[in-house]
Amino acid sequence: MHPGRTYPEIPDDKKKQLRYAVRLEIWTLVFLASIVVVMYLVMGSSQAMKSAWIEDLLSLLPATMFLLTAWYERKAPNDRFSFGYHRVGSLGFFLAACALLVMGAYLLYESAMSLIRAEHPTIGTVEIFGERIWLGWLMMAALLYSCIPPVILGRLKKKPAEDISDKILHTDADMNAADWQTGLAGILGIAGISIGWWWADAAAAGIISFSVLKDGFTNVRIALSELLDGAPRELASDEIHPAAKAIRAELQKRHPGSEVRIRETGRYMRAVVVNSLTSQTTGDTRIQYGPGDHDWRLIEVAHSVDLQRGDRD
Amino acid sequence: MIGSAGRVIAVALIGLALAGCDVPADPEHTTEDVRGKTLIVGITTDDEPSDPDERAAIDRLAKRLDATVEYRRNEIHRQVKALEKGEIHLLAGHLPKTTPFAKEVGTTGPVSSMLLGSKRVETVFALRKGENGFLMETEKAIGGGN
Repeated sequence: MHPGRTYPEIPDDKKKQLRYAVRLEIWTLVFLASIVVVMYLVMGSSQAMKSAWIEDLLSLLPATMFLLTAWYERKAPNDRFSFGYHRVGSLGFFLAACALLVMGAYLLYESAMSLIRAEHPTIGTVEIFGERIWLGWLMMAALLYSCIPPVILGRLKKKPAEDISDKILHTDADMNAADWQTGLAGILGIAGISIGWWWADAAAAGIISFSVLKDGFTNVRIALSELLDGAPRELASDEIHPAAKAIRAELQKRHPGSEVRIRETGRYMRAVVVNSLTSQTTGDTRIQYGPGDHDWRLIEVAHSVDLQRGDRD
Repeated sequence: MIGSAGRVIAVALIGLALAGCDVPADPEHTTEDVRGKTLIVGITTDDEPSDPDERAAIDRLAKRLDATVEYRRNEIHRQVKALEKGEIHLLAGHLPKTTPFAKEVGTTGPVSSMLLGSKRVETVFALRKGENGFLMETEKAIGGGN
């Protein structure tokens, strides 16, 4: 965090929560990296292991995006980015969601093809301390390890995510908390192979790919509503946030007969009071402010309601 | 939620423990087919593998499974097909680790090595895909276990 770059100023308790969240995400990256390495070492030719490994690899994305955003969004606005950089997170979130969606579809295709082609997963042995051990047991141990840290970290992240209204953190927490399902599916897949059920592995991989697809789909929907200037949504759903409804109601009360355009940029909300939701600047305003041929493009001129004299200078 | 996951894992592991020593199992029962009977080894060149390490590993595997060895010679593509159908149990004879047939068959860890062009590459045995119990027996035999 860069203390010099603080736009906008946020309350001290929120700053504290943000710092806590940053620490949690750094721990997430450390643990996930260790999981990715362990899983890679024992992956072998199991489809379920491959799917679980890719899911773990992809779950590095939201944590990384969160850290990048926490650092970048506080940069002050400038001539080229006059609204600041609050939407860095939205963009990152959208890209991460797309990655999940594409990967989920690919994994589903792979596991379906494995089932259709009746591919029998072949898992060999490794020698450890002079003993030949079936690699499947190590895979199960790795999958068990992959369940534990994310579930704990996921639960810890829920509260700060609510407190600082952070969609990436919230989604990341949800994905982490649900990680045990992936691990369990993988373990059951390998257990199936061990008793000769060749199809169990591909079936488990299919279940995992559904969870990746579901994550991707939910995230894309949330990211799109923000990128399309939708009204601020709740953290985990497409419902309009109660705070946004309250702000809209309060502004309408203070400006009777008017409408309120409200949207969110990253964790922040922006509201503009207008005559109606379809109103736009009149010809006069355009002539006054608009530069010649491009005057038709100017559809809104707004003053911030608490604009102080000092801020204008 | 974690508790229920733990219970499912525990049940799965207890189930495996009850299944006894036959894990990992062979979906197509190769180990069962060989034990006490004949280990059919496919080769492509000589009458038996020229590499002493490969020959010794095959003999150890046969001993482990109380079986006699029968070598069957044929062209490589036919051998791969025969392996896929379960007509032979093992494919041997300087099969490089990087064999292009790795998609059709399962391979063991390195058994020996050979010169391929100017490069020394490790050689492996091939077996029917997914026969993990038989693979484990074979790798134990390769590692020197009788």
